[in-house]
Amino acid sequence: MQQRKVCLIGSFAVGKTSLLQRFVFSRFADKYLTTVGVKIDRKIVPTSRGSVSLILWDLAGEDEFQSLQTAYLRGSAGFVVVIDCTRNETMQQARAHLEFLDEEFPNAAKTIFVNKVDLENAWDLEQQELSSLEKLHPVHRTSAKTGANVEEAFHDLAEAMG
Amino acid sequence: MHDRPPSELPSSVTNRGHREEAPSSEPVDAVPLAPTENPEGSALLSARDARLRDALQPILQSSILNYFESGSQRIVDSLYPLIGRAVRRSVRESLQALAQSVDTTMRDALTLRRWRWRLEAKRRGIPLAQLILEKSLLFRVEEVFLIHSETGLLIAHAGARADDSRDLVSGMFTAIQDFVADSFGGGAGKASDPLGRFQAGDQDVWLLHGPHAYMAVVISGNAPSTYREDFHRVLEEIHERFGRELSAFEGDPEPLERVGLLLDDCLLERKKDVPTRSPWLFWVIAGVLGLILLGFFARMLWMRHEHGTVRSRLQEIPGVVIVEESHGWNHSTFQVLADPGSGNVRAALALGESPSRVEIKPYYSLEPEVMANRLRLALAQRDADPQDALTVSVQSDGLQVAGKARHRSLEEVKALATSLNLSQVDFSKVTNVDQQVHVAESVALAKQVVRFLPNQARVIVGDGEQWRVLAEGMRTLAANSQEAGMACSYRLMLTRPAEVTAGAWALAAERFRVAEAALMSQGRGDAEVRPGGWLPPSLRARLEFPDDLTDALVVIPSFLGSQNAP
Repeated sequence: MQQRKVCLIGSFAVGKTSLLQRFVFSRFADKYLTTVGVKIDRKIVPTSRGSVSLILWDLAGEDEFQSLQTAYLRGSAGFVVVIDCTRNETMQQARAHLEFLDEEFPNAAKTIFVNKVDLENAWDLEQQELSSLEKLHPVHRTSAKTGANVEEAFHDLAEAMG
Repeated sequence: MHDRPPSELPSSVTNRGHREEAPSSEPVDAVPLAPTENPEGSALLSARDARLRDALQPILQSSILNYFESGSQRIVDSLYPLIGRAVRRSVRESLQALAQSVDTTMRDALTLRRWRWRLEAKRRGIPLAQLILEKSLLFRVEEVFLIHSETGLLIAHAGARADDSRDLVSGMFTAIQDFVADSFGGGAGKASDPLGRFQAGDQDVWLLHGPHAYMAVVISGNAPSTYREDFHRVLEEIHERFGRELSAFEGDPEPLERVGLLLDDCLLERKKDVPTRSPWLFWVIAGVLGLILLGFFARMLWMRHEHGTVRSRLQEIPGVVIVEESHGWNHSTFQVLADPGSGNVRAALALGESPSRVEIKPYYSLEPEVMANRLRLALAQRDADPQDALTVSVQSDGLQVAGKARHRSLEEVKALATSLNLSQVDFSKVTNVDQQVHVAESVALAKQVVRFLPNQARVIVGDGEQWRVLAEGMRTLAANSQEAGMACSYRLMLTRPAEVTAGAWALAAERFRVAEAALMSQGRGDAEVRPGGWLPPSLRARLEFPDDLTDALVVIPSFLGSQNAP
């Protein structure tokens, strides 16, 4: 079976771990636990080329004290850059991440998960900037809490990784 | 460049003959090649070679440096197998030197196991210390992962683990290395020594790195570090055989499925040596046990035979009754009852060093022969008088003692028989020697006569001396009668006259008075003496007195008198 390494990156508390929990284990917890270092999960995803085993690296989120651990990115076939739709600054961070990834991993598939879409009332993203990102990379509006679009988003990534 | 076959190289380089046959325009080619043939030419050639070397050196150095800088990873990858072998050889030689040093230090150890290891080390041609390390460390390789270095994806796995978690563990191994490299190695992308080993609980994880993939070997226990070389060799072989697939790996492990077979060889295990008995030791022990068993059974048979022999002997001895008996492999025991008439049973058995033990308790047998023996032994053991000569025989109605014996001895024997529980013993055939003497002495005394003058109470001349003889005889007889166990008294008797008249009785009475007085005066002793009348004819005949003997007085002992009393 084909295997692909996928890294989830993004600012702290954007929901990377919750997305993986939803995708891999179909569950969600309101309790927030920050990820230390990296956590790895595995999920087999059917694609048009057959099943693909996604090795999902959930990297610790970035904040002012913790920068992206680029050592973990090596060898990734795909990247999921997660944005919290209630915090516009996470989109700024995502943009920086994507620029870095485009430069260092030009051949890897990249996708953007705009997470927490269940919190519509708290939407804080600038639409214009989001639209500009959408022109560069696929954007999926997801909710780890409700599970909305999570499966589809990962499936699209698996297809895109080829 | 090095792979180019010689055929593709310029002929001017490979074919010296051709170069000799086709001289170039350069003067150097005109110089003969053999220096010995032309010393001047040789010197010229050396001078030109030095100039050529000086001219090319900077160019070559620059080119090589440039080549290494531009493609260092490729060069490292290409040289990896060669470098690995060279490094391992160097390390191996260093370890051997260390092992030799330890070997020297431990040479004097004299334990049996050490000697056995020393022999094994000699047989295998390895230092003793290396063997000691191998024997001392116990371990098991639980799992082996072959993981793609770049992606951290699992390529192959050997060992027991669920499929689901293999990928995650592989990823974590890679993440750990990335973290270490990032934290201690100067950051990502910077050259650093990769993590070679870490411990997780009681398991040791060895990481062995190759150009495209690394091996993670999960080990329980303490594996000798020499095995690291073996794992490296496997990793090198994987890279040699699957180098192309590994370099092209993008997540599809199918082309590398056969790698798992190589990984399986890495699942080594060393268990604790179970002390096994060598066959010779087994046979020695079995032989010894067999001999012991054989000896045991032989001893049992011998004891049975010995027991039977002793039993037969006991049964042959009259008056011995076996009450209880037992025998084992080392003893034989009898409890017997033995009549005193059985004699010395132990002596009869002649047990000597025999392991048989005989416990003897006395009893009285009612078997006539045993009873006779009992009495015979008792007679033999007594302090007999020289005149005693007694025999014991078995009669239909009991025992009979015959022979002769002193009166005192006879009394003792009778008492002895009673004490031996022999109540019915016939002593009628025993002659009482003392009584015989007594009778003889009685007869001798009775034959002494004192003659009176006819019709007088006076003794004839010459017989007065007889009173002294009679008195002495009476004393002696009285004294001997006690030993013979007989009462002693005397009767004074007169030979009957031809005609007994009335005056004859008076004369007889007078004569008795004279005799008593005379005997008393001669000291006849204390025995009773009384007048006894006329001597009966039977007694007269027994004493063989002549018929014409009249007016004679005799002293008749009571024993003789009662025997012959009318």
